[in-house]
Amino acid sequence: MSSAERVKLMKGKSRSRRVKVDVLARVEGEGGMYLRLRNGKAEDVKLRIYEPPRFFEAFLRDRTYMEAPDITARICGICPVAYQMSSCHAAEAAFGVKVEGQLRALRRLIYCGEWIESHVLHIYILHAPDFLGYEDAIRMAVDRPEAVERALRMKKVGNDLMTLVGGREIHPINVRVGGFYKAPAKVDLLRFRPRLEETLEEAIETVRLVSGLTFPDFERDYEFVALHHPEEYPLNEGRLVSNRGLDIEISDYEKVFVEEHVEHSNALHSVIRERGPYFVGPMARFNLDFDQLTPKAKVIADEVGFLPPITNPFKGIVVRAIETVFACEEALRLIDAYEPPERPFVEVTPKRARGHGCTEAPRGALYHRYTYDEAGGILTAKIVPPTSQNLMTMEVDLKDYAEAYQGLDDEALTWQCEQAVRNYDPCISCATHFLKLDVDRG
Amino acid sequence: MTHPPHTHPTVLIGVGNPSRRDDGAGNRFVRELRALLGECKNHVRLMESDGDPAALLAAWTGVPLAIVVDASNSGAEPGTVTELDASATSNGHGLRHSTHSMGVMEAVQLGKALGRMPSRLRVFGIEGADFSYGEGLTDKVELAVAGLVGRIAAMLGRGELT
Repeated sequence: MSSAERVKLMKGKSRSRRVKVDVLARVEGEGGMYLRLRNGKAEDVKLRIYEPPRFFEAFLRDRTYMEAPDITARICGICPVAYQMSSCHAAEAAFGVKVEGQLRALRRLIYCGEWIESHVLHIYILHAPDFLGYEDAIRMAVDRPEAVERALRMKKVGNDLMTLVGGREIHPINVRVGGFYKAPAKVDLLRFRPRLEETLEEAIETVRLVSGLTFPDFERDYEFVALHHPEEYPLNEGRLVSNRGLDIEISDYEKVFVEEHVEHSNALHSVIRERGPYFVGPMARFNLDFDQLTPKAKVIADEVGFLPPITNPFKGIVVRAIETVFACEEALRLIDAYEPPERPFVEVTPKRARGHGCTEAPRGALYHRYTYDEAGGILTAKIVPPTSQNLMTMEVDLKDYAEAYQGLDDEALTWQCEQAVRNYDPCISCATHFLKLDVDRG
Repeated sequence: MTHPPHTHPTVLIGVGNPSRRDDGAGNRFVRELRALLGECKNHVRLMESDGDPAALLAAWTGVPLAIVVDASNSGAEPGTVTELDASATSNGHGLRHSTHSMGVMEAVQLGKALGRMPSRLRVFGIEGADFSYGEGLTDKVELAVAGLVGRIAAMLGRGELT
């Protein structure tokens, strides 16, 4: 048989297509994607995370509970507040400390700042170009400068709110276990208030804009997981619930969720024991906690016809926009009710203990667990970011989406698969925190 | 102390990441020049940036002259200093050897698209050798930074950069 005949035979026999993206664009961090379709089935789907492992859980050992918020904030430049909050709450739970009143309010306020800047970055700069047919936001800016200008304005307000409460927008310096090092003056918050009012209006316009985008027809039956609080849309506190009956204290997290190491990734995959993958983030919160949204957020959601359940992951961009409305509204409410606390922090007395913290980062539930010695030194640490909790769900999405849309040519299929990954606003740098690295040199 | 950019005829921006060895060349440049000149001497504003395009636009919009110093990764001999007048660059060409995924080229492209550019933009690239994790510049890059600091300081002294 000649080589030409062999090639023809192989081509004839093989109904295999490969979609391979070495470097995913418009995601935070470094990852790739590999997908093999054979005879109409997605046989092999891998999200390759090759951002190097960062070993935070290891070098937190022998540090103190007071250092954990500042150290873990360095895991992410976009969502440092989430790490600070989860680590603070873990220590406070361990040592029996309650942070209430205006200090609790200030924590929600700085978190609102982070949600605004993170969500706006993703909506306009990372994700909207997909829907509008642009390679990136810079090319989009040529045709739609007003949209990009709006994004830069809104993001700056979120960043400036983080600076106002946290002292710095990247890795805030004012957050500590028990509260803050310094509480802002009421006059400074009131001076900032008009910018939030403008941003609220721009957030409402953002919902109207993105709800008019064209979304691929793709629905899945997910298990959504988020914090739930009876009176407020969750940021720092609540029980962990799901749409399939889960309802647990966060201290029971590790009885229900387990992390697995997969060969093709430096990031661990998280699953619900004996059940499988699950989905955290804005869509989970929206579906599980809609009743706790603020009034204008509910009104705009209703106006554009976005009411739960939302099960198309491409519509996450609309949910993020609605959550941006919530964050602006909530920040205004907190500022209006603000009176400087007598002291910026609650006294903390460490003891030998174990503590759990779980707060809602912009991308979803972020779990921390620490064990401490009698002086508050960290003996062990466990950090589970939202992106690693979503990784297996993302791979299943890719598999189902590729099978459903295999009629597209390779270029279009590749683009849409990348877009499918960006639905989750993955933070790959956060996902690569794990401790153990097995090196097989055999 | 910070000043709105329009109060300074010139803004000097060092772009980089000091935790990635030679990628910190721009940061080192600003720190050494600041030590030599002080913060606001000769009506020049000195600042460091991680390359975030939004921050660069905010710093240089409407300024008569912006100077950016950044590490480059073009394959040239380490320590080579290249200079580009980005005002005349149609779409950031010549800036694509930045070491950042969203860097100076993207900021120039975004600035032109949004009409948020300085009147003049001069970009100095210092070719790096080592971009691995860690602090400290390699020898040739260290020398190149020192040389550029001296050159810029002399230009400032002669009033050529205001």
